[in-house]
Amino acid sequence: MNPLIPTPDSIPVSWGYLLALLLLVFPLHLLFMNCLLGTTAVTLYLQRRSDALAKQLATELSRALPLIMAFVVNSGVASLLFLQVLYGQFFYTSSILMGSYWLAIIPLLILSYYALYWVDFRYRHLGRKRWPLLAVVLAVLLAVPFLFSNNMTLMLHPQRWSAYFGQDNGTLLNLTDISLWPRYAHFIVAALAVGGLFTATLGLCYRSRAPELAAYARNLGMTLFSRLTLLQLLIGPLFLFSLPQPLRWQILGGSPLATLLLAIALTLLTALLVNAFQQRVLTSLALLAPLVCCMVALRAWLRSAFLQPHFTLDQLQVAPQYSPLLVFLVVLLFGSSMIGWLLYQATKAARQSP
Amino acid sequence: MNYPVWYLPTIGGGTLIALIAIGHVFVSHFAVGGGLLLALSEYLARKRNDAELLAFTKRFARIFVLLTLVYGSLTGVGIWFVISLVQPGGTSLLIHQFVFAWAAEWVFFLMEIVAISVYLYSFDRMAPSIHQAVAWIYFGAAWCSLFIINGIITFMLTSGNWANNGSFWSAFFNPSFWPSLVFRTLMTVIIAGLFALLFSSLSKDLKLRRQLVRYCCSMVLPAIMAAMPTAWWYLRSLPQPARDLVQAGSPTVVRALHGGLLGIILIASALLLSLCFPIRYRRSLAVLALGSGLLLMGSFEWTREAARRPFVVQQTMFCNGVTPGQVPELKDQGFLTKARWSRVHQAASDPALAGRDLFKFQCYSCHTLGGANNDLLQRTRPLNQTALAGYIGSLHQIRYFMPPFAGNKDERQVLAAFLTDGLFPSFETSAETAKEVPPDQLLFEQNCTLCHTTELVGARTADWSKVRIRDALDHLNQLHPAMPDYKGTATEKDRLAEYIFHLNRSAVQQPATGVAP
Repeated sequence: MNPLIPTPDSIPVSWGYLLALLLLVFPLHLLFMNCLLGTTAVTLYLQRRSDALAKQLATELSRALPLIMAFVVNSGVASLLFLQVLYGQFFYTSSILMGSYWLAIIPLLILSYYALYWVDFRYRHLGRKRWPLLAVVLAVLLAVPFLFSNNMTLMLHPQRWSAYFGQDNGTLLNLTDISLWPRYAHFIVAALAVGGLFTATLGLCYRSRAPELAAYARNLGMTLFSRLTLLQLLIGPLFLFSLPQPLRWQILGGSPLATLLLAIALTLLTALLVNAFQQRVLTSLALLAPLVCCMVALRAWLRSAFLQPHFTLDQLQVAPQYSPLLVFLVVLLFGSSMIGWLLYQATKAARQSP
Repeated sequence: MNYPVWYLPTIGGGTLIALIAIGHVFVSHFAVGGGLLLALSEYLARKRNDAELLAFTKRFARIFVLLTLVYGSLTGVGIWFVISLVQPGGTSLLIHQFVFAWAAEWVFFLMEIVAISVYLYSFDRMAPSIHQAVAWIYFGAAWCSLFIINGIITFMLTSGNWANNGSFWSAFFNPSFWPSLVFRTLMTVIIAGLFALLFSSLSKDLKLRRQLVRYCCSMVLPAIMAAMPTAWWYLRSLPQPARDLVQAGSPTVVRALHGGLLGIILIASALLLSLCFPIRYRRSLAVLALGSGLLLMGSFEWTREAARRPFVVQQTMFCNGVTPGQVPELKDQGFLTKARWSRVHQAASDPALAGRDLFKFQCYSCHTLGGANNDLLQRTRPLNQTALAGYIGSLHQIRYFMPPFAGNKDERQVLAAFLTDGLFPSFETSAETAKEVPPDQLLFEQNCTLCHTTELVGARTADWSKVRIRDALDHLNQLHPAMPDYKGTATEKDRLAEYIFHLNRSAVQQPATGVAP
């Protein structure tokens, strides 16, 4: 046991419930985050195009960006909450080791969020200034996941934490980790691809009102999505081979669970690629959701495998109190129905308006 | 001691928390009260068929979204980030204890995002009754968020029966929960009204301005009137040590309370002025009123934080992450032997590093070195290390808002050496060769000079007899309510009185500046 690992606090319910909640909310965050990053990149690309359809599509996409950002932040909060409850002793420590960078995420996100609203509210008025604004947002959206990748990998390597003794001002990163770079590339390429799929999905909303725009969005979006997803066939193995050999072997057959998850993911990916190249938007969406869930589950397995020499979740002490969990579930049910009603009313109003 | 410390000695973690928290607290209260304001103003506009008021509501909704959804929500996440960096032990405790409260708050946060986005983007597209219902849903969700956060924040101040039974519900519905909830709800109304007044002062429509001033004043003035007895109720709900800290008049708490009072007076004056002369209610006055609201909110939060001291969670964890239960063992066996994030585990093996680490793990959570916030360098500069080492041992008795030093005698010595000579050259040997100080001077420095300079004590007692000084040492708390009574023996008081009396005489003979005539 590494002596630097802090003693964890007790949890109020069995760890399985908390892990289930983490696996439920984190795919949502990943999808929203990918959507935001990728759609920003597509909107930025469209700024350089002079044709009318590109301009119209860019306007529509830029309207969606601030809303997506709100859901990225919200789903990120829930994911971090359940991560901290399960792995707080690792996560707080790695966050402190890179504290200066970690805290910088907040002003960076505020800056980019305001820039997105600025582009949305003053789209026409901004003219050529849209491009640098969106470029800054994209740069921030590329930097933030890089910092997250650093933190999420640094927390898995307590043996690297002793670097703190020579550098306690929160400026440590995990740059020497060989798996950091393919992991980051895997994420960024996925995000750009999902941006393409979102563009195509948005196009579907214009099928009856503006069929040309819908076709343009579908063609651009699905081309991006299919080619970038194909690229994952190269990056995925690179990521796999950057992992320590024992873990790699477990994924490739040693651990039934990990192997099963990988097999399901590869099957879904194959089906997804076939549909993506055929430009089937809704089927691709329907396949992407379980694929992301599967990858998130594999990621959770990988995390527990990395930490296994130091800690397993069943070591967490439980001080049982289930009534707050029940209250939360009631609130979740109530909140979901209210949100459903709100979205229904918003869609109804949008359909009825000229 | 469980976690590493993100060490930025000239900035300090407290400064970073304050930088993010001040703006967030203000805007997050606006996010609740503003929802009520939107719902009410749309209701009035529709009822009176007032197109101008409806247009104002729409414009206000846009500003509201920009301020609360972007700045408010991200600084909320920012507070979480920064407290987990600066107070990881306390944050972990709150996250684990209240995980499902946080999770429920996340659901309400999601409801807020969806409701306010639907409200803004469907303003002219939705049936009026449904659009108003959306505003009420937003307000309901925002208030429920406040309800939950209030339970967690008040737990830190009054943990109530939780320490005995460990129950979530005892922790959540703690003794200060209800007064704080009512007080904060009133604050949300006050702040929203002040924002609306500022926004209305930008309008060129004089009729609308007159109407809005009346409308906002009818919300804010009763809220201010109700906030004052609620604040008293809140104060009564605090445990005795916390109440003493607020009422005993610690100079910094007094400054904060004065700031709050000034804020209330300025807000009330600005509102009354606006009621009498609505057209003269210009932007500058609106900014002043809003600034006063910030002052009021800031002083309330500052006083609340001060009342919690020396704990981060009342009676459970000190602000430096050490728990009261750990202190006796750490005093006996030493802090460094148990500190997993210190490279040195015996004070004598590397006094310089040991002193620095002891500062980092026990003092840095509240103090900086050469920084703007609570600079320890300034406080310890006039002291010699033997006096400081003695003082460190009893600082929690002299300064009741500070945690006890959790370490053994050697550690006290190396910390004192670090804070005195250690911050200057020639430290390497100073820890082993503490300077010889006359015993009476030592007694004086250990007990008086952390708060008062020698010159000040000399000047204050210039015309005092030795008997009067000795008598005063028996009743220090009567000299100033913030000054604790001296707990030493009668002989020590005699020696101190003698020393101060002679100090005074020598001060007369030799100017306090020390410059030779």
